Amino acid sequence: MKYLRLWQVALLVAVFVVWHLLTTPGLLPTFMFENDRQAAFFFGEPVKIFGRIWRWFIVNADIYEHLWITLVETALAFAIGTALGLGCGLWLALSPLAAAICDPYIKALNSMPRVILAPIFAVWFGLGVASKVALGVTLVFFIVFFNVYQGVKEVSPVVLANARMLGASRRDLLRHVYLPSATSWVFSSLHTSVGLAFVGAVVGEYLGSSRGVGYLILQAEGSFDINTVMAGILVLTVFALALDAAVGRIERRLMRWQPAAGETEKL
Amino acid sequence: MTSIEPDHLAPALVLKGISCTFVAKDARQRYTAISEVTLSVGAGEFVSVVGPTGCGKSTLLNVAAGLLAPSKGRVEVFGQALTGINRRAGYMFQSDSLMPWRTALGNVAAGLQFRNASDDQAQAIEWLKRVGLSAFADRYPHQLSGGMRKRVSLAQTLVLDPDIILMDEPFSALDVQTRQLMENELLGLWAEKKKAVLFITHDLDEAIALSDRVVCLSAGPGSHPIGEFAIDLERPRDVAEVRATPRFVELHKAIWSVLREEVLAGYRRQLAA
Repeated sequence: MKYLRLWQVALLVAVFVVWHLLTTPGLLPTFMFENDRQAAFFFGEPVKIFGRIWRWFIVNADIYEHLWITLVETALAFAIGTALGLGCGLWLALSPLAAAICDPYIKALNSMPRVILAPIFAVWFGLGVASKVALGVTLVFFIVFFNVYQGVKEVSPVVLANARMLGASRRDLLRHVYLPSATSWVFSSLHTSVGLAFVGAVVGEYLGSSRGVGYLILQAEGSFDINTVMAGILVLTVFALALDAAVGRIERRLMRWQPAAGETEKL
Repeated sequence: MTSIEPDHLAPALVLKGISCTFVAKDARQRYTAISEVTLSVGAGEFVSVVGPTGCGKSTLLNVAAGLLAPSKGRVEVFGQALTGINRRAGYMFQSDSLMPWRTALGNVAAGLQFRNASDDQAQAIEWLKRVGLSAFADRYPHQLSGGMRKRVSLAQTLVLDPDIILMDEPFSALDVQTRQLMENELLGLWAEKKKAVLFITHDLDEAIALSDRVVCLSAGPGSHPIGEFAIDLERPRDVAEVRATPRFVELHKAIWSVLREEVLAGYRRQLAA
């Protein structure tokens, strides 16, 4: 589709125009609320929302500090969670005894609603960055762990036998066969785990903090400032999209060896 | 060094009374793939093993490679009992065995890297050239055709200069033309270095065209050698041309008369199962 992007942008604009028409006091006769200010109170006004974002980024330039904190928390949660998941996944997949012993506990920990741990982490690690990172790690860890575990279990037996015949030691096998095979599984889960690291950071901020975008939203909610809440949500959405795009770029660079669907060049 | 002496005299590979019985984990199912197989491959000799499908040919090769411990019997490599992986053997597998995350060059160099060879890149490039793939060094396996992948596998095995080459129907997935090209290439490379080759195939034509000796296995379960034929065709051979010679036809007839009953028996057993 030639005009795909154009249509996508048009849809976005249409949503904001309808939003604007339905919420601006006095623009249209009210049909749901008694008072013409109520729609704006409940749903916010796009013009004011963009005004808020404009002030955050340009006029006051005070959101960068909060965005930076949220980004740091996301990145740390992602890095630590992935490293732990990779290590534990490799270890358990290559040691059947340890896997058999830990199996019920891993299932139990994974099925536990981990957001409930946020207050405990706040007590343990304080209201700073650490407690948010801890929450994100618990979310990211299991995604990566299960993928690595699966990845190691599904290494082609022929490729493995071939590497052994070529003289690979146990360490060589780990580095040149198990790890690359597991990495492809990790990357297939990367989009999910980055998303969850972000969720961990924002939810952590929302539940108690002094900085971060989640904190801004919490503050605005306290004073029924719906426009600021919506502005915060918009900023978080764009930020998440940017993170996802960055992950996609890295994935394409590192996963060049994987066949892509329909790989022919148009001449 | 007492091991030097048997090195020269002993055959490259000896299988003595090998039996392999597989036991399923859950049920009390037992399957004896091969029983009482005795086979030897002299240094520099090209031996083919033919047999009906499912007769345990691959099992035999896995035992020779040290990937599978036999239930009974022993394996000797240049006169020494084999324990663990057979370090003097290279193995070319039936299915794709290249590491998909390494380029053609990376795959050929893999064995050298595992052995900490210093000039692995140069040697790998040299071998890619020999199998005619120097232009495809930076391609990943999924970007190569089936025949090219087989040639990378061949280079990957031979770059290590093994004394024994084990091949498990390496060309069975290829079309007839590519297959004959590869067979001639293999014969050329083998003639240069004269390694011991144990070649598994279900294709009698291929076995006769390539080998010094053809061993027939009976149908499974419990397959064992039922005939051995010396192939006295002149070398160097061209696999396509040699098939038309009267001696080839004669040998083919003789071996097939032994093999036919087994092929039918194996087929009947598979139908019944």
